[in-house]
Amino acid sequence: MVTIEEFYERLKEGELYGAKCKRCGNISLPPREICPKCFSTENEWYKLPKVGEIESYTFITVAPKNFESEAPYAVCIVKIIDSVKFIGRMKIDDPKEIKIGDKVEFVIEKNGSETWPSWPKIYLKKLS
Amino acid sequence: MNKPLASIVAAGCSKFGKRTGIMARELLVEAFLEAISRSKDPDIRRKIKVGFFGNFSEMYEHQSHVAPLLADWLGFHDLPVIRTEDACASGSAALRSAIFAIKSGLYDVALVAGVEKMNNRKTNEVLEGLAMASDFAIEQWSGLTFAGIFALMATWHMHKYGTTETQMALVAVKNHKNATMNPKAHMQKIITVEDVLKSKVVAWPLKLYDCSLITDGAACVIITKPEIAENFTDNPVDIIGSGSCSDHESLIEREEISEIKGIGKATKEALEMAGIKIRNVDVAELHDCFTIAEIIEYEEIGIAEKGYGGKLLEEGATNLDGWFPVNPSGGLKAKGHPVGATGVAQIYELFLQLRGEAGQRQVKGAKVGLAQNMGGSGSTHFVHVLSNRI
Ligand SMILES: [Zn+2]
Repeated sequence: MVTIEEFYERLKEGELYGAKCKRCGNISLPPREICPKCFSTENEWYKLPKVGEIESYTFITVAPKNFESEAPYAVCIVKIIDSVKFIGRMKIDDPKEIKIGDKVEFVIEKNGSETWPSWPKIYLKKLS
Repeated sequence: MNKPLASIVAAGCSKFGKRTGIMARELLVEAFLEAISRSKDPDIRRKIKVGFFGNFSEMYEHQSHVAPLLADWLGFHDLPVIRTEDACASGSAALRSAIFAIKSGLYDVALVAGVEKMNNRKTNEVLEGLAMASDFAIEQWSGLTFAGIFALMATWHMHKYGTTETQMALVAVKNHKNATMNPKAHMQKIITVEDVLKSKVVAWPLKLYDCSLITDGAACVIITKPEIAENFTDNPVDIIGSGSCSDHESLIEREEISEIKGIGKATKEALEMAGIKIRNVDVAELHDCFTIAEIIEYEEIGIAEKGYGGKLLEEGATNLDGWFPVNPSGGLKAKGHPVGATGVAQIYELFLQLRGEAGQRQVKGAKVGLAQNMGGSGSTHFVHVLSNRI
């Protein structure tokens, strides 16, 4: 079964994977066992590029408690291929530093947490 | 118009605001006493045979298992009770469950309640609690707040359609103005477009005045099967349509992030059930958790073409005296947003409007009302259509 834990294990090793449906070809991100398009459970891990373009973004100054030490930061929805999108955080000081369409790369940082979840942190770096 | 699903015979709402020194259960007592005082049957309490309680978070009062507790405080010690949780739509989930109870024939009279006591915690903790209604594995993990999620929709809506921060500000200005006429509203303060634009950025492009309030409050309604409604009031309000659906929890999984398609689907279902069109609606309470949400809702319920929601505000179409008045109560924006209470409080406002009891903010001659309530970033949806019998 494709699981969120394995998705993040693979990401920790530096690779971004979705789950590709063997019946209809849909790629799920985050990956899941049942295809949301055709209900098939025939799937396989599918390696995705770790680059894409910003589809939308926000600049967060009032952060949730667990992220306060990092604020302010941007959170961007990144379009990877077609309808496959992922999300990442970018350390910037002003929302004017980024715009829709900018090319970005995912940068993975290990978390080191002793308690669940030990998933990596996902940042974005602007590509020039 | 089709036969009603159920009828509302009584409604109550606590004062909304920062209610220091009063717990959730006591806020609900306030709402409940108002509701039963509206019934002409002084014994209505004994006629209630089932209760549904909308409540979102265990975090604020360190309290789960609230249904029997809330019932207990209302004086019920052997009532079948169920808690409903659908984030910001928990109250509407309670209402729809009660409609199921009545429509199935199992019960004749049901209590619908919603409550949230939020101001016990610091703002960052409240935000953390609210963020729990988004996908932990993706959205929470990225450091998003709810303002951040709606900001992502706003950025794209601005980019794609040219919607402006000023248009968003007009939602806040309108709803704050309406709230000055609602004695139960959290804030009674006229604001200007400039006030909104100058307020502190929370999650760009959303600023403090683009966001709904962290509010303590409770609301309740008593619903019955339509045939017996007039035993309890001379002026019942019928529930003539109810629509609901879900969508992906994570925004990244929706094809078009500035559309909240579930709103349109639930609205269509509710209107078809009622046998009416959107143009037959006289007054609406829409889920303005953030100003951009109200703009998207205009487009989804079908009073504006996609991308033209902001224009309606410039034309004043949704003002109290416009052709489609939205949020006469002041909405989540200014009346306040005690999460679990919100859906029921929308119904309370329409109950007053359709009975001609809304005072200064009365929409004249309102016969049909629509309430739209959603959970999270639009992953649960409820739309109810109400009508008076005049
Ligand atoms: Zn498939």
